[in-house]
Amino acid sequence: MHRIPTTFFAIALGALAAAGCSTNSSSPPPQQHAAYQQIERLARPAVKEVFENFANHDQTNRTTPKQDSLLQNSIVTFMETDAGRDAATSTALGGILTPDEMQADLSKSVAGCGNPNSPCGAYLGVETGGATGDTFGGRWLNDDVVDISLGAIFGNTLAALGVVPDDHHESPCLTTDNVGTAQTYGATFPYVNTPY
Amino acid sequence: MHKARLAGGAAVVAALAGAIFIYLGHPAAGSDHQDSFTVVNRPGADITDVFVYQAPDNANNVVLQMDVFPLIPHAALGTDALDPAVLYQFKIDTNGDGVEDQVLQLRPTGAGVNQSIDVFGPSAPIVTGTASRVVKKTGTIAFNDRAGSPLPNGIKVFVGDAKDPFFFDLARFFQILPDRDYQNQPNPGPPDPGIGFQGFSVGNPSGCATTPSQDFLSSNQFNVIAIVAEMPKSMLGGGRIGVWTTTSTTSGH
Repeated sequence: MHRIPTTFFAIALGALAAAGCSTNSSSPPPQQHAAYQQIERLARPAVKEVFENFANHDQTNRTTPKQDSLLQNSIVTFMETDAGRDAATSTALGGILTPDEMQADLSKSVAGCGNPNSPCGAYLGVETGGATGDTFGGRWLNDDVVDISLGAIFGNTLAALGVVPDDHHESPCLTTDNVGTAQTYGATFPYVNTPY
Repeated sequence: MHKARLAGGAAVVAALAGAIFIYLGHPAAGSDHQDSFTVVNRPGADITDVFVYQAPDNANNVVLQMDVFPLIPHAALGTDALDPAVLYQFKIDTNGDGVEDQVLQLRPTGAGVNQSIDVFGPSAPIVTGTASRVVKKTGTIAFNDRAGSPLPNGIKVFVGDAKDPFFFDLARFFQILPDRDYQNQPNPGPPDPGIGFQGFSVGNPSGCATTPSQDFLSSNQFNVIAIVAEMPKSMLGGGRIGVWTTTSTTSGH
């Protein structure tokens, strides 16, 4: 995974997250009788899986990112009750991860992308001002999204980024699953590896 | 469970296999694999992961990828394909308002690996929100065609089998949070306060458990169906975007 430098001072994560949920009154309203009805939704990895009770997944799957209050509340509740973090840390992470859209900045280029074993994106790179690898963001095939997520949930990632004061409620044994990728990726479309 | 108990690192040395459950021949696992009963019953509509990255072969291009249909063993490679009842969509928010401004849609025709897949967009959606209609058709591709011949609007799209890129000690995760495993519904057990992720070296000063960890998906050689679409960054506005993916059916089931 890309290590997050503890000296990195984050740009305003909360402001970035808030920018993703402003309203636009000119957007057309959803039609109620269109041909297809949504049954599943996904953007950021392992957010529903980690934070939200299984019983709520189907409801979240049938909503839009603008309707992520259930998911946001689940994140804050999990952080406070299961992970034992303080209110500031819990609320901050809920604000960063909702609305649940994978952020990428297409005006940026990823240096080294296309070279052997070089990433072509960085999970949460936009939200952290590049602390996870680059400011293009998105998610590369080999990003260790689990360790990045666990670091934010159980480690000191948010405090290290200057988002919130350190609550000193870290759980070191849970900040990594100790698993790395088993794959490498080439520079030829479609990039994914042929099946086992 | 409180953090202090989680951090206690009590070494509950359980066989990883103990957390692996068999359902229709497939163990439960995932980043977003098998996250509701709806998609467990319709695995072709089950989105496991989303990726957004610069194209390794062209810095001016962006790649949108969603993986679906979790836990395909080698033996099922000639059988499992996209679900012809499902509309697959990438939704792209180009102005930060939380509403899709562009959609890229895929709809298979026919069941099984001989199916073809119609591609629609990327273009502005006809409707936004949880209801969808298909936009103007761009072209048609075949399942498992890795050539990536450009469609008329210049985008390249691949739909086919691939090794699951996700890596995680899933079995351990389900021991920590048994509620997240659908196999435990509707009466899930509480979080286990005595379990942490394992695999630290013996003698680690943190006192964490030392039983080896395991990447569930690669160690069991599971595949997914990858939907990979490459297009010029300018086609999506060339600035900051927010991406999510959906699957939809006409029945809502």
